[in-house]
Amino acid sequence: MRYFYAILLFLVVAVLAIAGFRGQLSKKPPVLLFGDMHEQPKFRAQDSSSLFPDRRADRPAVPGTVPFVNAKQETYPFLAPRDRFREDRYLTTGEIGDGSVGETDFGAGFPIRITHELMLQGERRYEIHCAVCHGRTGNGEGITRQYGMIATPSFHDTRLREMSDGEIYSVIVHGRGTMGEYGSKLTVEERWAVTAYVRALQLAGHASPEDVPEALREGMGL
Amino acid sequence: MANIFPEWSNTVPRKVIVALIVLIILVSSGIAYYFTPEYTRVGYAPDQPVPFDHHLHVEQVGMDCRYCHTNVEISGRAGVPAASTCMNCHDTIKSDSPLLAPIRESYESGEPVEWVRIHQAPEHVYFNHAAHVNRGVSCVECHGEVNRMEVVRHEKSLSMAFCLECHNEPERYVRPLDKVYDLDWEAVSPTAQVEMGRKLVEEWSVNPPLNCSGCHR
Repeated sequence: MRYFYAILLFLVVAVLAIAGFRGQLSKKPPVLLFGDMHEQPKFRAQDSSSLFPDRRADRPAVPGTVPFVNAKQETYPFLAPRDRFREDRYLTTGEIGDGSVGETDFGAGFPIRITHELMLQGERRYEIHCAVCHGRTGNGEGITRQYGMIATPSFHDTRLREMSDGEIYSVIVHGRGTMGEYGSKLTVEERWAVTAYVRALQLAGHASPEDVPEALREGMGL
Repeated sequence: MANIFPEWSNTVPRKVIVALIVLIILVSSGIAYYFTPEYTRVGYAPDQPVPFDHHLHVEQVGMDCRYCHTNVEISGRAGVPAASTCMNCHDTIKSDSPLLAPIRESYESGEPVEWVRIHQAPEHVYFNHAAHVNRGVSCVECHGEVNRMEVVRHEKSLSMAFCLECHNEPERYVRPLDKVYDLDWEAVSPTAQVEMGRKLVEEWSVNPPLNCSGCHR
């Protein structure tokens, strides 16, 4: 009997020594104890696949693909592509004219209605995507400057204050200089919202106490 | 007549029963301890092609989760960013670091960077990120304090019991929408959390599914 308990104790120690405890760091992939249906012969977003030479299960859109909205998606907008094709050239590109001339022609003005909600949306997107370089006030003193991103201009320079709305929109979509493109991260509405917020920052950068509505002055200590 | 069984055999049944009970207790506690995602998944921290440091980017640089995980608010998938997202900054910053070589190669060639997936719901589970973050469930509830992880590890079990804890009592977990990406945020006290949670749950009509088809299809 004594031997039985001795062996049992040895087994317990052996299991603990080999299997360890919960939460231990491990580089090995998790063991699947009951694998049924856990892994199915299907691909999910960003999976890899041996079917295609680039090993992507997600297939890149064929060049020239145009996102469209079908009848079902009109009824259930959450099924629709995030950004659908629209005829309005200025709305989607910030450019005007027929585009035949070499020089790009940017338009001025906002093709969507500016509301308080839109400005708040612009603020949220700006703080996520833009503030790291351009700074929360648009002075170009974002955190990346400390790490060597020295070329970020201030929105309060004359050149950028005089830049047309369409051009700001276009820079958001395609990037410029060291700035990358943000078109893939923002929808058409969000890009215009950010453009509007950039305009608001520029306005605030050159405002005086008199520009603040009477009712709000006290709360701001003016 | 001599005894058929020797005297020691009197205690054998008792000893065998005790030994069996001890054995059963040990085996079942071993199974309970090991045969669960708490053991199999928690602590998984594989090597990645690029040793991306969340702590550096979030706490030191102050980036928002959504700078890279852009789709989290609008899609079931939070998404792993494309190399071009990294290059927005790393084109200029640390542009010759050998650690970033796979990112530069991917950016040049268009071949994907093969990140190793850490958190993976079973494929019969249909989890939707947008549905959760837009109703006040913070990243931290399922992913742990990623903002403080130099190497990402699997922190929570993500077992079904884990999901149901919150689906049963969402008021203990939901938070205001502007705090969802603030992983360090906490209500001042557990009672304040429940009180605020009840209000939010009512305001948003949060009704987490508890039936099978809510998550399994």
